[in-house]
Amino acid sequence: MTIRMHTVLILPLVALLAACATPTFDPLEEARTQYQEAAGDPVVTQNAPVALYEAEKTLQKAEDAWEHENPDRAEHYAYLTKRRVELARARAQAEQAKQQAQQLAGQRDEILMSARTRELQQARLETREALTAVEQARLEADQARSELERSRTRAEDLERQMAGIEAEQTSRGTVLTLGGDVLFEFAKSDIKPGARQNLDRVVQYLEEFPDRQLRIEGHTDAIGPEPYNEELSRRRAQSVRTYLVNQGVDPQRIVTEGYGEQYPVAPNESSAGRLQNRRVEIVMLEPGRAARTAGRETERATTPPVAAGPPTQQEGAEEEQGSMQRQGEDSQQQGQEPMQRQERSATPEGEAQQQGVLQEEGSAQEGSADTPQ
Amino acid sequence: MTERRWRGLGPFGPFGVLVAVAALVACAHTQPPYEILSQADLAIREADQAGASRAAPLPLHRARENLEEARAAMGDDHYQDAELLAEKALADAQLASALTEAQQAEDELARTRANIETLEDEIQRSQEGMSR
Repeated sequence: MTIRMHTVLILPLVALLAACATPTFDPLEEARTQYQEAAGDPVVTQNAPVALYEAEKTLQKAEDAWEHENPDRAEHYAYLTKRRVELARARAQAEQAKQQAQQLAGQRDEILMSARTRELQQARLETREALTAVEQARLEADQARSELERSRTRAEDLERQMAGIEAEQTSRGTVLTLGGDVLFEFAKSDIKPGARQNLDRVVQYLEEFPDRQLRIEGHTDAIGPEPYNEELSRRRAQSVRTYLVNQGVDPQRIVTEGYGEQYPVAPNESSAGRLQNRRVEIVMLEPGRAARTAGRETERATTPPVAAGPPTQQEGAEEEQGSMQRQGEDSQQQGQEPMQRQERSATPEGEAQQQGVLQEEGSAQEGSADTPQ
Repeated sequence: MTERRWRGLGPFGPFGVLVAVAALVACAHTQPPYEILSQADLAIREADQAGASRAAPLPLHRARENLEEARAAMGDDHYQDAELLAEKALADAQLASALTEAQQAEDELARTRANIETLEDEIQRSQEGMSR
């Protein structure tokens, strides 16, 4: 029992002694640990070396004071050490954040720059595309223009070709005049085989203007009874129509008319005039004008009065029909000469008698004029 | 001759002089720590102006406490204590300033980061707009 009592008394005593024997209070412990942690942290050593150095010096002062048995001072410097270590950490953090912000700012500038560059490139690309489009359009316009030029040239070529057939602009439209003697035998309405070439050129010309309405008008000279002439001129016009239709011209486009001797283009007193009057006219009406309502009767009175005297240049059969205007001028200029010329070129059938007389007259005149015969 | 000279030194004689010198020396060692006090005071003001009351309220508070205690010690002529307390206040105030600066740097970093994200978003959108 006594032993037990002793142990009960001894245990607290031992505990008390143990507590006293270990004067574990070390005011520097915390400061040391904090400093060592900071000193081992590369973020702090790299970003706040000066502050860390100050903390170390302070810690050293604390250690010195502790060694010199000055716990108050040691505690004081330990306090300062802890603040300075914290300060070093704060400095390091600030420094790091600033560096990162700077880096990010650089990145942002790069992003902005590259975005601007991209925008610029995009804009440049769009400009280039637009320019290409403009270039393309210009090219197409050029092509269209040269196309137009070509077709115009072609039309001009054709017109030049048609010159032999005599194309003339009138208020009704383009009038192609075909010499009656070229197309038909005397008093007949069948087209001569040799005239087909001429008509084919007409067909070719008409094909260039597929939207135009056509009037085919037959005319005769004043020889013979009028009803007969009218009938003949109508049949001849129809003959031409038939030929054109056979060559592929749309019959809907064509209206025929026989005018007989109603509309002479030259005086019927001379054989040359009569030759001119025997003709078929193909009127290519202005676009939109209907053939049925564009008869000769409707033509404005622009036709000069038929003057006495044939045209001057009558070298071939096809060139016999000069324009009326030219004819008018000619007759004024040339006075009595027409007879002689006319007889030289024109050889109309059924006028042999007259021709003979004229020939005599003509040779007499010729002899007296300039031919040393 | 020598006696007359000592007399001229005052009623305490040579001993009195010694005591006075000793007292002066002692006083010189524990002069009031005005400089460190004003340094601490200034550091606290600076930390406060920098925004430490929000970014580092505890260190700022400790700095003020320590400065108060230092002034109290001054009032009691405990210059030694006053100096140490002022030194603590200064360290606390400097820490408060550094923490405030760190906080501000972090804020700035976050702003820059957000800024870049917005920028990237905008660029993304404008590119989508372009390619559309």
